[in-house]
Amino acid sequence: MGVVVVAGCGTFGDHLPLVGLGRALEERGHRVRMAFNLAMMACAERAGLEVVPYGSVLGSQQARQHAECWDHWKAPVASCRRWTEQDDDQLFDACQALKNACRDADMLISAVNDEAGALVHELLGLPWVTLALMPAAFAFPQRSFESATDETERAFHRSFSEHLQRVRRRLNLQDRPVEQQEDDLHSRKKLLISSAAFSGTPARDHGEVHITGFWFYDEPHWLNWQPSVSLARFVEDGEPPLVLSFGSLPLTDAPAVLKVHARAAAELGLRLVVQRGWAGFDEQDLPSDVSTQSVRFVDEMPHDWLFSRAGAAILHGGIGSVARAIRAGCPMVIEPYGNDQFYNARQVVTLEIGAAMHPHRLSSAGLARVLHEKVLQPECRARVKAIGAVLRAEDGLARACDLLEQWMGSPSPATVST
Amino acid sequence: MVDKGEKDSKEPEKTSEEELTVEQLEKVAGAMASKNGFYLNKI
Repeated sequence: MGVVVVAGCGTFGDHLPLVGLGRALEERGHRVRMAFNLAMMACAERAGLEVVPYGSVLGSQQARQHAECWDHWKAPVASCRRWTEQDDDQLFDACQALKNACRDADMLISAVNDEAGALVHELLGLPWVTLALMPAAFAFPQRSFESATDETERAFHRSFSEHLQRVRRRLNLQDRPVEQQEDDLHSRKKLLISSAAFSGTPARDHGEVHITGFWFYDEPHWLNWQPSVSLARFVEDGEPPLVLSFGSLPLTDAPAVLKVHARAAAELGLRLVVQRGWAGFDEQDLPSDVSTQSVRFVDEMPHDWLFSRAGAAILHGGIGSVARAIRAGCPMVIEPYGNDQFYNARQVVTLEIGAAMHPHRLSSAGLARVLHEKVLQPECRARVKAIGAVLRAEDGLARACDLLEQWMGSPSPATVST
Repeated sequence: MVDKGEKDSKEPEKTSEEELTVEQLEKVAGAMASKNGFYLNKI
């Protein structure tokens, strides 16, 4: 039995599976300490887990302040992201918080895109495992930063390397050659939180990647959750409705996005359930030509209940909601804005369990057509149900715990690659 | 990668301008996900 520190990174959808891991490890007798940013701590507390503050605050409010940065069609990461002294301070503070959280730890688990995890591992010499919640991380062959010919991309990596070097010095860590720095951000053994039925096997050159199956975790208050009578009637009476859910994605123009979807549903004669989410979809923004009786707004609620009753889900393509939709046998339209959403959309199209639409070229007529001709067809539902059955048979959390326990007991469970 | 070999011999399915093809998504997804997903979540 050991003390395991799990460091969170990202939005609500990135933290929920980690809470599931924390619970699963505790049920096996381990002591678990979650290190989450302030906006995500309540989620761990509701699960009865010890949690300490760690990293910059990222909740709906912070995300909405910079919604334009989440749209990688308009703001490609390489051209927009540069690291400043403020970023140095944030990473340094995160390292100090995580180091303190790891004071008695036997293992540190952090995300592949969380630099603090790598630095604290190096500071403490603590066994360390990185995990990827996004199958996109290992889907493509590695590409050397040194081979980047585009000056924008080179400037992006130069900025990041310099930032990392400055923070390393503040932490009294030895300088690393620039070309090695980004390789050192991942443990040798890595967990991939996905199903082979969705993302296949990782590209060969990523080293030792263990695919576990998706980690599904239901918050305690979801277990006995019941819909209101009016919501149950809206969803269950008549033809299954469409569901619009963009989860933790902020939008620069949520009213415009809502209008397109409300009109598409109306064109098909279908009701629409809209989850407000971090986009902040609002009843006031419904177009006057769409009946308010045909659209129902909901807040956070169990996706399993909703997706299992929907004709189709319209999603931004975050892996958490995509996995839930597949497991519920719900076909989907993905409108990807950035990050791993492009890859997840590609898989949905490749597997023919839905379609993908360009969010900035979307028309209500086009969306209605794609829904009618492809996504709402019985063949599409049959395919997603077949893959959903595979996902339901997998126990990703149990597989992950087995691996972590095996690595905890080995002499050198997870060292950085050199 | 998911092997969908039985589709290889077919012509790519025609889509509207607003619908995204596998090829279009492959291009943007590959750029985002290179180097162990380094770009992912670098917001």
